[in-house]
Amino acid sequence: MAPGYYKIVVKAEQLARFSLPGQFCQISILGVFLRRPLSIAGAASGKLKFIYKVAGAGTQILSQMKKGGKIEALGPLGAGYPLEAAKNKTPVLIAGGSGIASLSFLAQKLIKPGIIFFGAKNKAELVNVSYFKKLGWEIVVATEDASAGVKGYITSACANHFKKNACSGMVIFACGPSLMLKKVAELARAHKIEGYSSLEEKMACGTGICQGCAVSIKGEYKRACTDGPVFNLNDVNW
Amino acid sequence: MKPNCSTTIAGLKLKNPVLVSSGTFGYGDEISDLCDVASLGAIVTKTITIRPKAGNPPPRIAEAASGVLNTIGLQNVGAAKFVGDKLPLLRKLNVPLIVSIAGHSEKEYLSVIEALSGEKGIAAIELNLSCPNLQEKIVCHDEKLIREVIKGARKRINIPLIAKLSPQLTDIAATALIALQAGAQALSLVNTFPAMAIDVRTWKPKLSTVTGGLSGPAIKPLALRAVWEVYRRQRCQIIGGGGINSGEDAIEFLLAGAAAVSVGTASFIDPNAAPRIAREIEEYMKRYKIKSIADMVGMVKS
Repeated sequence: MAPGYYKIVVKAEQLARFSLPGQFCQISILGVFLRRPLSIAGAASGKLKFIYKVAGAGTQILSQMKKGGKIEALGPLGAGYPLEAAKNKTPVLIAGGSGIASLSFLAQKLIKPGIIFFGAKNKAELVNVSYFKKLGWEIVVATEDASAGVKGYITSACANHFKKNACSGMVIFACGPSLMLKKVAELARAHKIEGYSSLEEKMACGTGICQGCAVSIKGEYKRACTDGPVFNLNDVNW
Repeated sequence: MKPNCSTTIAGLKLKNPVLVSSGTFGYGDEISDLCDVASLGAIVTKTITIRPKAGNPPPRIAEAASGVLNTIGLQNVGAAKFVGDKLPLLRKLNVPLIVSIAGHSEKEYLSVIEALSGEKGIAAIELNLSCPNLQEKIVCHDEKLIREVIKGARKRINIPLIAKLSPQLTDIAATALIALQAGAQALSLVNTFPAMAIDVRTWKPKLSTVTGGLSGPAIKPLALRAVWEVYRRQRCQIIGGGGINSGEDAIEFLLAGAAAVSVGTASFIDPNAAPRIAREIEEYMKRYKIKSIADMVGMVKS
């Protein structure tokens, strides 16, 4: 899709039928030991879509796969975005980098389009924007090198939006780097907006049995793979 | 000819020799929808301490070639919550239950034993003498402490005691003897190997506690050697494990002297690893016309 960004579309009848936005699959990759957790970016017509960024050895090998190949996926795993929180509210999606993946699936499932804030390093890495356009979402982008949209971090654009608009009818769904999510949580708290974030942590099993992917929620360690990856913005100890 | 896959270990008769290792199967109910738990020989629970433990900060996991480094830090709900919330669920699984316990002192080990001593449904206790991810030293490097913990446990509970040892011992067979003489009916060999990894993009260690425990196929030859060494010198009951990912891997441990095998990291890759391995052991026995598990235990040719 862009340098380092890849899309996978696979025929997966059962997975497509039962997956929910915010969930992920554990993908087996030949050449590395552990499975890799990839966010589900879409599920329709018996097909599952993943969007991911090459981060290391596993995703590097995965990105070399050719069309017509097979992948082994365990899923759907995790607690997804609470869709009912968007009822009668305007959804505000905030994506950083490859966080666009899970939020793409969320947009697919939300009945009413809202506004998406998407920040990336440069224009090329603003992947999948056209999908949101097709669904009728209002789109605000930011790039660190000013090659598209606002220059800098997307959270500045978010801050402006919350300052200039009545926040009571909004609900936030955010996915991206921790620093971005931390800033989003601060904004949400300041403007009293309900919000949810999908967290990421190094994972071994992905199924809740090893307690490797601990994230601090309300002063306790929870499992990002099973208790999350989605948590209320207010509950996360950044 | 249907082979007899049952085995006896620490006085427990198990329907097959495959156990799931402590710390790799949660409290037994997390993946009961992904794994055929009822087909397991036994479950060893996450290690319980007297007070709940939060565990170590993330990152707790790093990948190694053919293995995993972990520094979970014994995150557990504590003895009281275990008895109240987890034990009732575990009993429903209808699989022999071995509860793993640990403490920071002899007194702490014994308080957990006391908390469990009235409870029904526990087949045996595994004493975790060997976790490498706590601030204090690994207990099994202290002979006096091993003796006191096992002797003290023996006085307070009637069910079998299994001592799980660290592989990082100068003479594992000698430590094994201490544990057996103090009253352990069987040994669990081995816990994870102290190890580490460094991120060359940030120059930081990959684990929050710098070092952690290595498990997975990378350690199989090392764990196997430990089992063989202890068996040939002590001829005792051993639950052997370390990197087992197939029936044939398990057979190697049986031949080296284990009467039962422990499957851990494999479950991270395949939630059904342990039941699959139990089936593969049976298939091996059918193929090579082996009548019973006992026909293989310790039978590696010398």
